Amino acid sequence: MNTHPPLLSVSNLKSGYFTRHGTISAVDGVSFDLHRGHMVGIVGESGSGKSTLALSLLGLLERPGRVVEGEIRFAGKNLRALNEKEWRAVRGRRIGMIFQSPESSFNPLATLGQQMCEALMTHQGLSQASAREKAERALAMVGMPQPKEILKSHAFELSGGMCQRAALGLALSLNPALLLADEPTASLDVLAREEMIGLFKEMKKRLNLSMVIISHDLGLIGKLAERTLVMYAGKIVEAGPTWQVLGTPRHPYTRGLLACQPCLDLEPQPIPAMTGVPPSLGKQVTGCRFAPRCRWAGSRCMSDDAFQLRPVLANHHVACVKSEGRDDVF
Amino acid sequence: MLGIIPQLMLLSILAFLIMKVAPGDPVASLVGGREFMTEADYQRVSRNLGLDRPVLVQYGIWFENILNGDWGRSIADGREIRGIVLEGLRVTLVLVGFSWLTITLLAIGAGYWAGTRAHSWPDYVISTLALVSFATPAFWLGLILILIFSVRLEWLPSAGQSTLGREGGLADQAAHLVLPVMTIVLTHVGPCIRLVRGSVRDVLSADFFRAARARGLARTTLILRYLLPNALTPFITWAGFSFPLLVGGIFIVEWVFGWPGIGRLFLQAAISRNYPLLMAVVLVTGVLVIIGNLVADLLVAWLNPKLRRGHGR
Amino acid sequence: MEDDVRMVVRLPGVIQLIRAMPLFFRHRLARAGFWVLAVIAVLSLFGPLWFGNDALTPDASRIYSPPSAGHLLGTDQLGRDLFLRILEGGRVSLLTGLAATLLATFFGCLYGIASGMARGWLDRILMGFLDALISIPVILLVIVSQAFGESSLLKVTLVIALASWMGTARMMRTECRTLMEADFIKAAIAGGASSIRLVFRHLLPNALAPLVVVVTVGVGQAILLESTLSFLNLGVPATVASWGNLLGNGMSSVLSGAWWVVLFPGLSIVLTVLAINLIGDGLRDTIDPKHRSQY
Repeated sequence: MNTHPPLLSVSNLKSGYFTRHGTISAVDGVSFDLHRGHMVGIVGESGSGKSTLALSLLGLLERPGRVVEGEIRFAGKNLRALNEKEWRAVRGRRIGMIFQSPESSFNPLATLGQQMCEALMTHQGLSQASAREKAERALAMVGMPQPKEILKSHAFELSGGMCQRAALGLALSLNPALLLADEPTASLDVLAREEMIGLFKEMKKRLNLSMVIISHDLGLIGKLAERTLVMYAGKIVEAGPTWQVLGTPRHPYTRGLLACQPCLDLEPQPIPAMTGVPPSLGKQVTGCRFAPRCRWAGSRCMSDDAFQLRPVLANHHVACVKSEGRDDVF
Repeated sequence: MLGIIPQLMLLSILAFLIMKVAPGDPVASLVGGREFMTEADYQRVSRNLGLDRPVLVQYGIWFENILNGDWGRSIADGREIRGIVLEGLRVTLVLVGFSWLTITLLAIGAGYWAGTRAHSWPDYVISTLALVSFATPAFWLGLILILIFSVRLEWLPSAGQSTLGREGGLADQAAHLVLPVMTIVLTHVGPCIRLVRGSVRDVLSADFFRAARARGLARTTLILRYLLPNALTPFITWAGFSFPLLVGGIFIVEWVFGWPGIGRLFLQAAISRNYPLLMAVVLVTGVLVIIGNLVADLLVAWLNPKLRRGHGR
Repeated sequence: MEDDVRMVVRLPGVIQLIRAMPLFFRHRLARAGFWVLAVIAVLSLFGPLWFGNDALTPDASRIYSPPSAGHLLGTDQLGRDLFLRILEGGRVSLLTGLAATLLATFFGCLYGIASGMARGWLDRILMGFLDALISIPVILLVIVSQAFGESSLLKVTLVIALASWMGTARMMRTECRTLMEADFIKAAIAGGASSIRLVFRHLLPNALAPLVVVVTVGVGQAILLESTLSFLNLGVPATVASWGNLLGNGMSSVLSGAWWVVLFPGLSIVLTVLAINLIGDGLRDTIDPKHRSQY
């Protein structure tokens, strides 16, 4: 398929939180590749470790959290070997990130213009005037009407959708090779969400943007990502082309997620198709971690390798013993 | 901001009440006792002072006099009260200024330091000292500092604003400032440090701060533009709110160190029941506190665009 | 980490307090504060009875004798044993502080509830008065009122109470306002509950937990205020021993080098108030989950 080396290659990444009360492994051996111009979606419930994964990718995990093991290879460099100063040259400049809550992406005491210029001046050495000009163009690019006015306003003066556009504009103005989006639509209303999805599509086409989208919103992932990873209890339980994963899900957890899609905008909720809650990541369990909530769980699910990813089709892996060999066991 | 009008009203009423409620006869006290004046003289003086008119009218006259700069005379020595009080205020403001400056610098420095190193041993040391500071009476700490630095070590003077005969020497004046300022700072800085530490931690874990870090900004930018402005807003609010406490503490410290400010004037007036002086000091102190609150309010509004643009409040 | 969607349910105060107790005792600093205060209180209340009055009668032969085996903390300017004087003074300081705070709490509750239940102009006047009062240094009011007339233990207690009810009043008003918005109160009103019933059945039980915290910290502040007043000779009568009174002629003791007469009574104040503040912190941390720290 793709002969170029991947832009981002994560292998066996493990991150955890180390407190006096115990260790929580939030990300437990995650591997995936992302090629230039592609988008990968990571889905899962709250507590599945997907946000920890995103923070780990940008070296933003703070005490008591820490990346323990594995490799993050980005454009040929191993990011885990970087020191704090080298990280600053990667953050924003090479890898941009946008967050869930749009208003809290910005300093409440400063205008958007100040913050955009500050970033542009830091990374591109621009003068105040040319930074302002570039910021205006970036806002116009993400479809903001009257960018001049927007630059003069504070985050609390804009709607959530506007803020998220501005956050995207800021991130893209620095020409990153990769954009991480952590729940980019979770706090937007339906209309703003649709607009945002359209914007992502357009930017992908125009800028050949590579993205990692982390969301519980399967609709968003389905419309944008080529590949989808499903995370549960810190591990990837299903990985494959989006149309396959969402179209013919193999893992019972993915099926559960799909079945309760309409209510997923409000997480966590009692899920009709899936009972129980995600396991506490502090406990070490043998066998399949989803087994306690799985209606098809059997004795084989308790074996040591039950929670390992195994290929079911070319490019499609599932961590379920019952997916082996046969197409549909459920 | 309009809130200061009722505050000033209540303050003036309170000051006026001190005079009215005070035991003893104000007319008789002018000459040292009722037996020293005839009935006719008594009536005449009462009329001159307006004491035969309704209380509300008396209040009006008194208030007008205050505004016109006529603050009456001290019972103790007959000097003009306005001169005494304004001179005392000047001397007190020196103490207020230095203490406030030191508290602010120390609170920001130590609070930032402890907040960025939460749950490390320097944090525990700073937090413990802050707790002890809150529990220490200012007058006692003043005594202890005098004991150590003036009586034992003989490093620093323990009383007054300058050494007699050497007035005007800058080093001498600075030496006299050290112990009083140290006492005030050490007994008032505790809650400030705890507050700054807490808000530094809040900002460090705030989404917008993480977003700023994700933009790869320089460390100094993060600290100066993101961390400090956001962490200091609650501190300034609190500084305004607790300004009366600081002033109260300074009064006691002035007493311990013989600092000739309005605090000492006030305590002398209270102990010798010099009511005209007492009410003047209450009035001036109240105005000082109200101005302090106002400055803090304006500063917060200036820092916080939400308030500046009239969204909040 | 994922955002934590945890339900914060406010339980009625009594249950909240009882459930907080084991947590409170797991809070290391609060536990330490509790035991320190307990020891000080027990010693102060029963110590003087135990040791008798012998060492408390003035004795010219042992004026200002430094700490020794006979007099653990030395003797004061009249030759009395300082340790016993501190225990005696502790009784007055602790009880005055407690009594003043309870009075202040009572008055503050009345004021706050009145303001919170009343809407419109009455509330505005009450709060305006409170705001204005808060802007005047407490110590001024206290000293002015102490300057009138003779001093007595009862008067000091009343004056300290009058100087410290404002925080409670403000808190109770906020508490009242928050509660009046709660659905179960609306239901109670719809069901025809009287105001008095609302206050006693719903408001007070619910506000109990934060009130306990305010009272705790208040006792410490009252002790500090009492000691300051007594130091200025504007506090409890000179014939009554209190920690502040022991420091009353502290300046002359300092200048004559009798450091123990100043050091030990002051340390008792610091230790007591610190212990009380630690208990207050602990209570706040355990009652209010938002404040729960990792101590």
